[in-house]
Amino acid sequence: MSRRSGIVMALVFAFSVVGLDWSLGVAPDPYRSPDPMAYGSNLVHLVRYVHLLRALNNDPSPS
Amino acid sequence: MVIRTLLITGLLLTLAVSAGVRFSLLLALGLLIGFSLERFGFGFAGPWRRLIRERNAQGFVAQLVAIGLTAVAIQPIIAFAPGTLIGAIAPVSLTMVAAAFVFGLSMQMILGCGSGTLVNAGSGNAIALTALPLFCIGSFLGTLLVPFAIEATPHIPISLTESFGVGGGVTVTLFGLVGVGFLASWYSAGSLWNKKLLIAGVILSALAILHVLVAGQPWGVVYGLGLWVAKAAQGLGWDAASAQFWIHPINAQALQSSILTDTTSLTSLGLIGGAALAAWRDSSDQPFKQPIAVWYFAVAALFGLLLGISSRLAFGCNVGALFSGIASGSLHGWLWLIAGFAGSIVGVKWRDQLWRRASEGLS
Repeated sequence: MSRRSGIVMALVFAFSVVGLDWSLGVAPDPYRSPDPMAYGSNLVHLVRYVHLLRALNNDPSPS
Repeated sequence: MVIRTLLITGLLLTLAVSAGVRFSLLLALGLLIGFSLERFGFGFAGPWRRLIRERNAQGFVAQLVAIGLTAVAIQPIIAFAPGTLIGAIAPVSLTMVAAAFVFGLSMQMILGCGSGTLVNAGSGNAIALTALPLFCIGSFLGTLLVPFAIEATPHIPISLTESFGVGGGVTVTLFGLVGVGFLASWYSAGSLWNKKLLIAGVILSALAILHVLVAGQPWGVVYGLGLWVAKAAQGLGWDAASAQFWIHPINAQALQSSILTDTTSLTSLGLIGGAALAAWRDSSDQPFKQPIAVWYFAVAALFGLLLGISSRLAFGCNVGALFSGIASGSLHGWLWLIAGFAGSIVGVKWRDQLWRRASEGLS
C-alpha cells in the first residue's frame, strides 16, 4: 500500500465533508448567496431586469 | 498534469457558479497555500522541533519573516477599512495561555500543527489521517468549553494597532519579531537563512495578504473544522440552541449555511487538496505504513483531540493565533508564541520517548 492510498483517503474525507453537508440540506444557493459577486445572484438580477422591462412594455403606464 | 489542471479549474468554476466568485477564490487560495506548504516543506511544528532539538533556526526565522511581511501589509489595510476588514484580535487570558501550551505540546506529539495536520493528511501521512477527524471533533468540543473558560477567568483583547496606532502597532510587531529572531540566532548553532524556506515564507505571506483582501479577515483553520462536526452533530439531533457559542448570530448563520460559503472551511479543504496535488506525483513510490507500533496511532488520535480543544480555547492555532494574530497586532498572538513554544519543548521530549518505544523492533 503506497502513500497515494493515504492521499485518496484524505480527498475522500474532504469530499465527504462537502457531500454530507450538501445532503443535510444546506447546499449553496447562488440565488440567495450572501456574495454579491455570485454569478447566480447576477443572473437573478438580470432575469428580474428582463421581467421588469417586459412588464413595462406590456403596461407602459402602471397605476 | 493536464487532467489535474482541468479538474481543479472545473472545481473552481463550479464553485464560482454555485456559491460565488469570492468563495471560489478562497478555495483557490487554500489550494495554493496547501501546495506551497507541501512543496517547499514549510511548516510550524517541524521548524520548532528542529530549533529545539538541533539548534537549527532556519525554519523558525522563515516563519518570523513571513509574519513580519504580512504584518506590514495587513495592519494598515485593516485599519484603512474598519468594519469591512477585521484583524485576528483575540483576548488574552490564563486559559488561553494554558491552552496554547497544550497545543504546542500536542502538535509535537503528532508532528502537525493546525495547518500541518491538514497538509500532512492531504499528502497521505497515516498519523495525520488518524489525528484529523479527532482534531475536528476536538475543535467542536472546544466551542462548548469556550463559554466556561470566559466565565472562569478575565479575557482581555489587546490590539497593538488600537494601543499605539497603525505605525506604532507595525513598529512594535516588527521590533518584537526582530527580538525573537535575535534570541533564536543566539540559540542557533548554524546559519539562520535558508533560501527555499525564505521563498516559501514570502509566498505564504503574499497568500495571507490576499486572503485578508478576499475574505475580509486573516487566514484561520480551526473554526471550519469545528463547524463541520457541529453540522454533523446537528444532523444527529444535537440542539445547537443549547450551546452558547453556537447561538451567536455569526455562528448560528454559519450552521445554517453551506460550508462552501464558509471562509475557513474553504481554505482548510483547499489545504488538503493543495497538499494532495503537490504530493501526488511521488506518492506511489512511498510506503503508507509507518514503522511504528499500532498504539502510537491511539496516541496520535488523543493528541489530535487535544489539538482541537486547545486551539479553540487558545482562540486559534499556529495559523489563527500565532501567524494571523501577531500579524494583526494582537497581543494574544505573542503570548501564544511563548506558551506554545514552552509546550513544544515538553512535546518534543515526550514524542522522542514515545516514538522510540513505538518503533522498537519494528524498523
